[in-house]
Amino acid sequence: MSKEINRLHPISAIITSTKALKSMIFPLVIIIITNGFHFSFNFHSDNFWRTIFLFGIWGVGAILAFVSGIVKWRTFVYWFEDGELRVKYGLFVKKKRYIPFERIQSLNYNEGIFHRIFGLVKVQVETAGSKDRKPEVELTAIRKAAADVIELEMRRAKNQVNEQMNDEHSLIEEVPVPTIYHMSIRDLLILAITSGGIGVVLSGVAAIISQLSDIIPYEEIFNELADFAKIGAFLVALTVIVSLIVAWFVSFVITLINYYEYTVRIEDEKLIITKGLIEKKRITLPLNRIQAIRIVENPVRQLFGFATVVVESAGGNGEEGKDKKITLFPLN
Amino acid sequence: MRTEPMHKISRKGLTVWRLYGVLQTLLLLIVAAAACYGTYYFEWPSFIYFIAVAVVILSAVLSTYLFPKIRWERWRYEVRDNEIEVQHGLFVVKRTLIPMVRVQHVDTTQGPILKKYGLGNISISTAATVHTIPALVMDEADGLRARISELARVAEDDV
Repeated sequence: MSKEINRLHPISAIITSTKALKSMIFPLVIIIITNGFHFSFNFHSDNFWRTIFLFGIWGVGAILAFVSGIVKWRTFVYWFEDGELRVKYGLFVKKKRYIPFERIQSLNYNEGIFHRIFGLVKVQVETAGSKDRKPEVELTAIRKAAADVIELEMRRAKNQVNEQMNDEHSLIEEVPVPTIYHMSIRDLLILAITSGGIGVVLSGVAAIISQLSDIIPYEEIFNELADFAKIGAFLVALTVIVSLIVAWFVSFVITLINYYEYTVRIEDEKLIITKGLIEKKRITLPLNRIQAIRIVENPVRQLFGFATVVVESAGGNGEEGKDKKITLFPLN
Repeated sequence: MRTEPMHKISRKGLTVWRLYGVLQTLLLLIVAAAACYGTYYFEWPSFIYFIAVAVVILSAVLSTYLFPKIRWERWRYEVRDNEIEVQHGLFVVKRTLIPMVRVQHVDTTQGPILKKYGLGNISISTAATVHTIPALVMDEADGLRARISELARVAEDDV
């Protein structure tokens, strides 16, 4: 078994820091807006020091994010030994984690836009021990070849066990991979149309609005609305309907992008789900790790004769679980 | 009742715990000093002095001397073929039995202080819980980890 030590791809440093930076954009916007754009880089201006101060704080945060990204990349190593996936990370507090291949519940590959440019992939390894709803191991960015090695190692570890049990059984039986389900464009459209994502979009909008409450003069808007209401309930209803339609359309597009090329396969006793247009996702789940199967029919989909099949695994963690769970089959 | 688990944790672990106690006391000392200063400056009632001093002394005695000692005396663990048993507790003694079959993965953690003493924490994760054996000598921790993972593998797959 190979004992060479693997690192993440350097790009992962950038990905990690941009992720941190992304969460810092919103505070920056707030700072700029609340200051009413009174910024000046002119030394003699009154606003000069304040500008420097605010941007200074943000700059320090940005640099910290960047440094932590680099540190994470430099300190993170993983390797395979004794049928285990082993990772080591941490600068001051050194952490090591050892996961026997047999214990891996699911293996997820994610390819974001960044990853796709450089031919990389993010790998998430989950065991049943998922404590804080996070994958046990997350390899932020590695080459696709390296990702394949992980799977190869897993298979090899498994085969070794099999070998011990019955030697003659040949290891390599390349069965043509049967596709269980491939979502056609028509099905995809139906899924997108009936998607219940409206609530998500609406709550997102609500969250943004509540964040902006300091800036938007609600009182004035409210007064105007009062006038508006006088014009007629019809107009109000129309606005509500239009905004609902817009929200629905957004969720339609999101679903379309997320579930593009949705395919379910069974290979080597493993359930493999791939999907995504911009961000490609691939989820591998050993069949004997499935804890339960649920079939969900929501009223709208019943009309079309569709149902959602949800596969639950013990490693399933909240949000991510959703991805792995929802599969849509025509029921007929 | 079965006999207690065999192994105690390293003597150095006690030292490390004392060190933690000292750090905690120092932190309390700063808070207490601030309180005393506030009392002096704003002329708060003077019993605050006594409380501050009492808290610091209590913390010094308890968290650097007594508690680590009791904890260290109590802490025991044993790795058997099919199970891991740990026993810990300050006043209430708790014994936990972790079946090997249920072990999902094993972590070791080592912070700067532990590193200085060549110690490490080892965490055993099952599907539901995480059990930590603190302050083991690093070689011992590695050996233990290897044994657990070996034994956990032999057991039939189970979640």
